[in-house]
Amino acid sequence: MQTPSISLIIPTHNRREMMDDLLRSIAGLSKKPEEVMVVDDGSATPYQAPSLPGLDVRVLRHDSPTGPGKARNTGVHASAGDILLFTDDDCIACDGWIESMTERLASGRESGLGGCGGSVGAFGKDLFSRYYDFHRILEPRPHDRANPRRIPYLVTANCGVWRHAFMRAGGFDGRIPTAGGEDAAFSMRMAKMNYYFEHVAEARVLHRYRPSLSDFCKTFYRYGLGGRYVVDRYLSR
Amino acid sequence: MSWIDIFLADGDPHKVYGADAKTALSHMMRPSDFPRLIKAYWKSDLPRMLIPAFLILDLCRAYAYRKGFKDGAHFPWPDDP
Repeated sequence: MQTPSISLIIPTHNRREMMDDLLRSIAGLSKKPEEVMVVDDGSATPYQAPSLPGLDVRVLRHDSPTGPGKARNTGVHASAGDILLFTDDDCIACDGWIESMTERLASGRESGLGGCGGSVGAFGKDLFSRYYDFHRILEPRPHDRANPRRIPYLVTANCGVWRHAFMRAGGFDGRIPTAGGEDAAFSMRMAKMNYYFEHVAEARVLHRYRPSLSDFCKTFYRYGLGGRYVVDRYLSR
Repeated sequence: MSWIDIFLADGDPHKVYGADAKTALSHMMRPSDFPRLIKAYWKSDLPRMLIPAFLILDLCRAYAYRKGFKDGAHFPWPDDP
């Protein structure tokens, strides 16, 4: 197979400055994606990407918020890459991210490797960032003794999947309107198609966590909501 | 298994691997887990002065997740167009 092309998909909602920072970090990578699809999911002020040399950024827009899962689906359907990379608008890409993710995906294509999840570190040094970092909350851990790279699911803050696998699985479940649960549901759809996932420690992004107890609680409330959806719709039949 | 079980297993996921996804998503910290959690923090490389704050965050996290999980049963999930 020829070198696979790469599309990076990023949903965003009312985070213009963070989104700009993320794009700047991608523009500074030694290897860049062929295209970057930013899906503005109903921001109050429509997002306009800065002009960055060497980076082909397209901004798509939903007039009203639909949730990150549906926004990612929009980005994927408008993109053309063989490999789909996902991250969030509150992340910063670290050098080596794209090479390590795509090399691992390419090495496992024939064996059914559908997706890879990378490392997610904390950008800040505040208490909340240290907590997320300590527990590696956004980083699935290898779980299979016989296959030490295998991870049970992907987290969309940092993952890459083959387009053909994404399409077979039907993309993200658009019925989840919040951030939380949509990546677990997506992983289950992929696993149902007999794809497996691996961890790539070298593929690293940094995540900005909001240093407030209120936001911390809201985040886990959303994870609980999404967790219930996944349990009821995917695991109870 | 959930985050707390993995951590309580001293970071060795193989000790707890085997639970299904339903258990992992449904389970959150119970009060009876607290002594083991304190011990695990104590044995970890976490600075001691951060342990009380982390325990408070654990409580907030468990409460928020449980509430979300409970509310999710009645949440008006939209239809997929």
